[in-house]
Amino acid sequence: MKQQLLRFMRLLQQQGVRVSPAESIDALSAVSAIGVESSDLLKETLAMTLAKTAQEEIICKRCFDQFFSGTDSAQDGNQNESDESMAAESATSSIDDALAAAIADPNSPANALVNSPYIEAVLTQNETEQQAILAEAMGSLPLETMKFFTQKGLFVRRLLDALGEASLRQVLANIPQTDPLRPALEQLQQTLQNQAKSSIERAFELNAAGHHDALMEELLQKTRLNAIERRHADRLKSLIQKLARKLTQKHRKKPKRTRRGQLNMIKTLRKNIPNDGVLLTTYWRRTEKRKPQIMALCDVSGSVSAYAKFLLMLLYYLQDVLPRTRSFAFAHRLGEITQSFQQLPVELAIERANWDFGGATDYGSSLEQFWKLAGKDITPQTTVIILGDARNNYGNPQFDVLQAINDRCRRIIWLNPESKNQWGSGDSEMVRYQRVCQSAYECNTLGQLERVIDQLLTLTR
Amino acid sequence: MSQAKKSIDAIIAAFAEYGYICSDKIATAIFLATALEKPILIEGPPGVGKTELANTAALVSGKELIRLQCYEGLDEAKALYEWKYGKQLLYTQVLKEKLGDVLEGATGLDGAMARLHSFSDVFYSHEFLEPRPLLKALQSELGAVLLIDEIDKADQEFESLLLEVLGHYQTSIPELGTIKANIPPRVFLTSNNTRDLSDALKRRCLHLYIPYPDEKLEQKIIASRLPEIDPDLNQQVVKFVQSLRELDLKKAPAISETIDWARSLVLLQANQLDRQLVRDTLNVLLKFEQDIEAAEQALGELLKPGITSSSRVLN
Repeated sequence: MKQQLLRFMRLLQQQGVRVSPAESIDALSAVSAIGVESSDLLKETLAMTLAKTAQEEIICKRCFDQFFSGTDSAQDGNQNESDESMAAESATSSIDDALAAAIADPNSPANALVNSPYIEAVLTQNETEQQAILAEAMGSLPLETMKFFTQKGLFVRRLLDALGEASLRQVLANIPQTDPLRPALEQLQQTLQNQAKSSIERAFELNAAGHHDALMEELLQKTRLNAIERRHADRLKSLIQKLARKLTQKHRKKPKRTRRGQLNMIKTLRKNIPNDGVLLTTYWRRTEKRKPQIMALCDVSGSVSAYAKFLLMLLYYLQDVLPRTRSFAFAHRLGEITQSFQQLPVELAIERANWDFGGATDYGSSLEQFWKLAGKDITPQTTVIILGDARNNYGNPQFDVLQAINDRCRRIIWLNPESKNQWGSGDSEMVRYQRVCQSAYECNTLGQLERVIDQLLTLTR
Repeated sequence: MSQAKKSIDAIIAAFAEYGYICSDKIATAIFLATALEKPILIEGPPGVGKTELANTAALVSGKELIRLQCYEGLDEAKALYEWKYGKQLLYTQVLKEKLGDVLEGATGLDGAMARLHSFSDVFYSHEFLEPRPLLKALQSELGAVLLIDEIDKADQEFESLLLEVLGHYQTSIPELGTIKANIPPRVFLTSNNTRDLSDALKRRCLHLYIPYPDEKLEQKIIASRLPEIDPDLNQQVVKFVQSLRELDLKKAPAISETIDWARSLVLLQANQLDRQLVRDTLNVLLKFEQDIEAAEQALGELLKPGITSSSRVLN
């Protein structure tokens, strides 16, 4: 049982639930307290000790059902199969008997099969024995390494070898085509192959699903945002959400240095001098809490629409976790979208932003509007992030406005989805804008985005 | 029936006596927490009875409930212990006056210093220690139930402070050394999930997620809280609330709101839900103007079974 629980925990790890050794010890002692009589109780217990979020609890319960019903259903499957084969065999029972006799006969070529306990169990229809041998053979395979469906064939082969199918093949190759035992032997081989295939199939479903997800996420991290296909958008959404959460977790608002409780001795003494040194009033040390604020401007024009969608999504989730974030969208004009981000679900909010502010970009007037709208709220704690390609359609770029913003805020960070060598080409004002803001980065994959924002949050602290 | 199952059923019965109807899952968590001496971290939407669970656990076990409400800026001086500075300062004053007696007969500065060092120092001692909830729970003579409410509202720094208390039921005070619990307190932490808690904290706890209850459980809860309610009305109320939760609302009504609503319906002496009544009392159930509007729009759909039954009564 312990072995099985440990395997279950390994499975959970593959599905993305982190299970530390300490947790598995806890889970094992919880299981020994609760017993294994009731599978519902066991399921709740494991979910409670191993899962750390509601989401992990769902994964945990699903895996539990899959994992522990797997052994049962395997039994059922074999039952059916053996039922069928029994019906078929009753007709040819004489051949079956003959086969058994041939295996027992040391002179027959079929005698080679005597070494395979599994074949013997199949022939004698000993279900328990069959299960035990199959489970052992499965255990000896490195199933954790099975990550891709192309590996299934190999694992079926290895399982068959472990079950002693090789000797059966050998026998089949040795006996003549007309041998009366041949149909029975071929059927035996077929049964073996079917069982091995279904066992591996089940193991693959259990194992590989988690790997597949991880691989997919890794790939999506590296792909250019505008090249990601629509059907992966859902996955990306959760990925971005994860990213936003990770970043804020790492860069949580710097915890207040709480000094309440520490006496400011110097001040207390000085202030109490009029009382003849009797410390009547006490003075405490306190430090100001610094709250960083982010204002983000996102270009939603056609030229960057593929990126804007993801950037807006990231903003949406960042705003969720960094409450003092204000978001603005612009193209030909600029407007604040903080409100709609707070109230609407993500898809709707992004669509609304695109609809309200989309069009041809005019950076100059957008900056000016931003200055009018929020300029007075910019403090030395504010970080301004601008997401856009700086393609201004040859309009007035209004550098002085950006300069004014820069003078007032902590820093401006410009994230440009175009690669660096295209900056300044054609109607791009990037090179000149870059002179004004302290930092400008190229940013067109999720990986880059994460790195940049990570840096950014470090700097804003 | 196994031993564990029996104790779990006993827990359900004991809690029911104090008016808390708990599901198997909750009872299992309580059982495990007792067996393993581990804290329970309770998560779930607001109003599903997270805090109430700890309250009832205290009542059932007959132990004292010590509650620590978390908020931003909560620190160890408010949660763990503080020195009684005023008294400490007075002590120094007294010491100053008595210094002459203490040093009497000492010759020279060295002699006086030696005398001073031999003198036992009580400036940092238990007498000047002001215990706060966490320390109180550890020092409790008979054991206590410690409720750390809305841990997600506290700063992350505070979580690390909790680790020692939760993991080993002890705390270290630099001036005094380690203080161990006489009897490990039963700890409940609640979280509304406004932010992710650190893995270190989660690892030390059993994780219990309390969702909105299903129809049967909610009816039982209402019946236990409001014994005078008509069973038909109870069923209608619960059905309505359950379908309300499926709407896209800013804040779905929780159990506490269902109870409040049922209570107001009983006060209004209603025995049937009808459109006008629901419309008039919806503000008990829903706390946002938008939600009330959304619910009013869907009212016809939500009340369908109720309306047919009332029309049948009329016929």
